[in-house]
Amino acid sequence: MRDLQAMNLPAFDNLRLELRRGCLVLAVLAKLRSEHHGYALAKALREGGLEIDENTLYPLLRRLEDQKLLASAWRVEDKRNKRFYRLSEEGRVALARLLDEWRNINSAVERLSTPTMTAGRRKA
Amino acid sequence: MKREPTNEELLDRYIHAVKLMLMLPPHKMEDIGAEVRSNLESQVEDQARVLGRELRPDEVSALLKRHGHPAKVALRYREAPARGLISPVLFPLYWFTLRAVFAIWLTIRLIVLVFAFQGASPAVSLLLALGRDVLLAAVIIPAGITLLFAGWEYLEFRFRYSERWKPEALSPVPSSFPQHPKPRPVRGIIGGIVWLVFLALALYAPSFFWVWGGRGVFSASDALYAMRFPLWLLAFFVISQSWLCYTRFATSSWLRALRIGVVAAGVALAIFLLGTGDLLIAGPKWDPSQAKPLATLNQMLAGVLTLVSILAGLPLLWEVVRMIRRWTSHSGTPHVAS
Repeated sequence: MRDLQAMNLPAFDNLRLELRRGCLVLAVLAKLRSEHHGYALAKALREGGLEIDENTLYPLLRRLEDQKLLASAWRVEDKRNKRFYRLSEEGRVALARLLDEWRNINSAVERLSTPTMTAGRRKA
Repeated sequence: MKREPTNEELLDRYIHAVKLMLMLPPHKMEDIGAEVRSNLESQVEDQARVLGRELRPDEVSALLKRHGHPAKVALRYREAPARGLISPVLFPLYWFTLRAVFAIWLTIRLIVLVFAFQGASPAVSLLLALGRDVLLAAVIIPAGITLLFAGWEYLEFRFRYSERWKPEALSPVPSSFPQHPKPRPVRGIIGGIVWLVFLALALYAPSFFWVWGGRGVFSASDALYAMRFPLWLLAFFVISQSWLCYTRFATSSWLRALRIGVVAAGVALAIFLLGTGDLLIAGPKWDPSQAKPLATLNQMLAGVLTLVSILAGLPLLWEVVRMIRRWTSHSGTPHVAS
């Protein structure tokens, strides 16, 4: 904890941003297995514990749509025009593979970090 | 009296500003504008539901302020191009090439400057020409190298040359590949002692030197003669710090400070000597037919001193900047009480 506090804050913020960037894509794709409009998606992500700025989310949705991982359509809901996003077929395949990758990375990081933490505790 | 804008007008103005700053084709601008509006309207509705009333214009204004300046919002939609001009893979090589080419160019230009000192051109006009050339090179060299690397990047993106390599095609390591030489402190120390003794003798027996002895065709100028002790001290410190590099103090910060001090003193001394005019004057055995060689020698000495001052001064500046950066980053680290 002390190491974290002593760490130069901008450097930590950059590391955190890098770490979050890939996770956000995964979370957005996972959530869009069911259809959401942008605002509802941001709320759902927030409620799920992943805070995301709207100015990050909307351009990200657009990029994922350009990559054909998402499909979107304008529709009226509550008397207002809203753009609804959902996962495309390609997005489904990509999500499955990304989730596999995520699980592998997660377990590898767990494996790699556990001995260090144990050693740290032993030292303490 | 000026009318305050309504909620709808505030939203309209904001969306209009975002669209203007997107700088995208009209259909994309409209699409993005509609989406940003939809999001903002949802936020307004949500807040209104929580408060149980319509939002006031100042509350909508605060919401828009939180959402961000229109330029910032527009910028996010313009980020992440499909392919950069120079990718992160090539960037270290690009940066290295840029610095190497500039350093080579500068070295050649400085050598040309040294020889130009021998000509009739006044020093001020030569230095002005150097400044102009450095400014031009600072634009032309990066532009040329960036174009070159952008072309390489494009070809790599299109044809994937880097994926076609074969390990067998790499050239074999030559048998006489230079290894890092081991430091030879003994040779350096003996050479340094001989040199210091030689210089020390000059303090008490100037006739040791053909220029300082008063027996030559040329003699040292008054300023150079007056500076002989500082010159000896400078040589002493230069040699000492190069010996210390062989000891356990090699990485200590005071040695770095000493090196900076020695270089700074050397540059200051060189500038002072350059300012005093000719460093060599006619000696007791002066022969008027030697006037031209004397002038050439003085010009060459001045050129060499200038070149050495620049070559030593630039790394010195860089070292000082690094020290300041290290110092500020160290002092900027938050202190944590244990």
